[in-house]
This record gives sequence, structure tokens and C-alpha cells, in this order.
Amino acid sequence: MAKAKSKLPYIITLLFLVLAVVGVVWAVQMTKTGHDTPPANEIVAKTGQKFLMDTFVTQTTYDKSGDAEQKLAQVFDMLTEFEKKVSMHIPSSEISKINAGAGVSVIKVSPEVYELVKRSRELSLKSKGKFDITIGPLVKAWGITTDSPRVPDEEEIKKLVKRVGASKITLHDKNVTLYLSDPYMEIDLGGVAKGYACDLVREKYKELGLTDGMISLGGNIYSFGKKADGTAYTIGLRDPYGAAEDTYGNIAAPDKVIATTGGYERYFEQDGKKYIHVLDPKTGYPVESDLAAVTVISEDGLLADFLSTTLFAAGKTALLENINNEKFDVIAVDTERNIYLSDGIKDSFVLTNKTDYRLAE
Amino acid sequence: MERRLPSGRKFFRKGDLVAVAVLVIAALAVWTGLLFASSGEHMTVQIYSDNELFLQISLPAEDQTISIPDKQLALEIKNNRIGVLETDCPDHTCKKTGYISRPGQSIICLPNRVVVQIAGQSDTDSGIDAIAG
Repeated sequence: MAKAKSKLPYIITLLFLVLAVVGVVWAVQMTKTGHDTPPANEIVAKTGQKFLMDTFVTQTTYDKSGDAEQKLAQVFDMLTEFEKKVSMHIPSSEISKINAGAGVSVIKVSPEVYELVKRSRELSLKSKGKFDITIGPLVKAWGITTDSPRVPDEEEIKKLVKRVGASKITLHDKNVTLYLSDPYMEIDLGGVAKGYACDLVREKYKELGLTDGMISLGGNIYSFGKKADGTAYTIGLRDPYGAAEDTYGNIAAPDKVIATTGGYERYFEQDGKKYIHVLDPKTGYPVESDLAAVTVISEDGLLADFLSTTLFAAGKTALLENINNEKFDVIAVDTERNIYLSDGIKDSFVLTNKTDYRLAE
Repeated sequence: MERRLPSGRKFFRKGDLVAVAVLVIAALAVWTGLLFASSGEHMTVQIYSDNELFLQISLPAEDQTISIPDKQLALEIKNNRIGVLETDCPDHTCKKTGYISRPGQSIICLPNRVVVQIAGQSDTDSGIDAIAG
């Protein structure tokens, strides 16, 4: 009894100490939580996302108007309508109708599809055989982006290569009609549709009156304006040898379309060999490039998308001959992880992965 | 001069100091634990299938397997991280992404039209708004 009594003050003191420590911990915790809550006046980005045009599409805007989210939804709606016109997988699309009517019927199309096909045809003819929008029969035979990709035999490829040829597309400006003169040919807009979609999005953003905006169609990006903090959007450049979130550098978004092509994007493997999704219209086989990724930046989204594919397919030597041009900028990575920049992008480019990558002289 | 309790004991003895030190350390440990817990407090995994939000799960969560209806794709939550367990897609890009656990991270399976993302602002201060590629 006497023993217990003598311990009482001692226990009380300890209890106070414990309470004091708990109090301090609690106070620090509260301060910490307080910091985590954003200030009431901070403008949070509004975002939207959707699977569209065979890819994952995300949008961001810091526009302060109350209906910014609805505006982004309108952009998605516009793209959904566009997809219904150009998709090869939608039987009722204008492109499907043109392909089904090859050698038989002249098809009346919408102005945007007409413009897209007309310009893509011209670009195909200028690409020196590196790009062709009538590559459809080869794309289907390989099925690289489908559930059942395969390596077609040589005879089959030889036969299919003959069907490819953008010059066999007949256009009629006045009637806005298209006709494919070879009954077995097929248009595939996979190499240009996303870039052109970026051009359509730019027009839509303008029409909606957004203060700023950014859209990524599976890594093909268009952005304009500044973020809430007054800075430009920062665009990371995907590390072609890394995971989906790894980047080797970044640039400040230049209010232009940024299109990228690389062998890492979509491919399949068979018997230890890798078959990438970029096909050579002349040989009928997947491109074997000494480049790992080519990014093209241009006000002209269709051109950017076309060039990223074409320069990637053309390889390093051809790329370096054409790297400086007033219509576009280029950021390219070769298979040895050397980075090549056009003069116009040198000031904006920041190399972030200095361990694996180096700027070429 | 040392203060003494009526019982004649010293106010503090060596053993008491040790006890206090242990308590302080224990409190610090609890605090550290709270800090970690709070950083994961508002984390929500969102699973979208065909552009529809299919399921939301708060982290931390028990280990489990999640099958997506009409898709040959199974997700797994293990040690509060989520990743693709099985998929029938040709490229397996989604599976190669690995397991994710931080706000802002995502897994995308294009062929299956499935997105898994952890809601919230990214805590990796990369300063990147989008990735071109």
C-alpha cells in the first residue's frame, strides 16, 4: 500500500509527458494536413479521357469558365463523329465505303475526309515510297495491331505490294468524290488521322473559346495557351527503351502539334523476331530503321503525323539531310540513343536522362 | 541539491529516463506511421472499361483479384499496388507497365479498352503535363 502511494506522482508525471508528446504529434499532424489542402483560389485543371480512334485520348484545360468540362466533352463528341467517318473498323464509315466500292463506285464524302485523303495522297506521292495511305491490304495481312498478328508468306506480300499506290486514288474537287481505281486497294489513314484530328481539335478549341487546352491522342499532342500558373505546358518525350512513363527529355509546348513514331509503340514478336507496326509500302515488310523514335513538331498536324512516320522509315541519313525546315521541327533518337535536334527546337529542349542519352554533335 | 519525493525517492531515476525515451521514440514511430498513412489516405484506384467507370477502390485495400466483365483481363491488388495479372491482348503493354501505387500513375490496355488509374495529383514532381510518344 505504501509502495503504491509513493509511485503515484511518478505515474502522473509520466502521463503528462505522454500527453505532451501526443499533443505535439497531433499539432504537427494538423499543420501537415493543413498544408495538403489546396488554397480555395487555386485553379485545378479540368480533364477528360476516352478511348477513341483506336487510342487513349486525354484532355486538360485550366479554363476558368464554369462549363469548361462540357467544352472538353464537345471536343470528344467532335472526335467521335470524325472517327465514324474515317475508321476502317466501322463498316458505315466513309473510308469503309470508299474501300468497299474500290473499282466499282465513286463515293461522295464529307469535306474533312476529302481534304484529309487529298492531302495524304499528295504527301504519299512525295514520300519517295516511304509512306502510302493505300497500304490497307498490307496492314490487314500483317494484323500487327490486332489480336491475331501473323507473318504473311512472301508470295502473299508480293501480291499485296502491287495493290498499294496512292496515285490510283481519283479525286473530284467539285463533286467532293473519291474513287479507287484498283478493286483490291484499300485506304488506311492510321499514319495521318491522329495528326489531322489534332488540326480539327485546334479549330474546335478556338470555336469554343477556351483560354488554353491540351489534348493527347495516344501520344500525339496538341496544346495551346498557358496553364493557370502562367507557364506553358511541358511535354515529356517518351524514352523508346523505357516504360510508358519514362522520358529522356522535355520541351515547353509550342502551340503546335507534336507527333511521334517509334518501333516501340505497337509490335509483335514471333520466333524471336520483332515486327513493328510501321510497314514499308515498297517491300511490304515492317520497317527496319536505325532510328528508335522520331518526333515532329509543326503547326500542321497532318504534316507532323505524316513526317514522323516517313522520317522514321527513311532512317538516320535521310533524316539528317531534311532535319532543318521552316515548316517543322524534329527531335529524333537513334538506336544508340543519340539525340538529333533541328535548329528551331534546340533552345526549348531539355535533356533529362543524361545517363542513357546524349545530344549528337 | 536534489529534490526528493516524500517517500525519499529521487524524482527521476535512470530507469525512468529510459522509459521516457522509449515513449518518445514510440510516439515518433506512431507519427511517422501517421504521415505514411495520410499520404495514402485519399488514394482511389479507378478502373474504366469501354469509357465507363467500372470500379473504384480505396487504397489501402486487401489483396484481391479483379476480373473485368466481357474482357480477358484480370487485375490484381497486392501490397496496396495494382497491376495486370493476366491479359489476352497481343502486345502486353499493360502488363509491362507493372504495378502502380502513386497518384497520377496509370495502366492502359488499348486492345481491351481498359484504364486503371490512381486518382489525385501526381506526387512525383516531374513537371510534365503530357508525354509525346
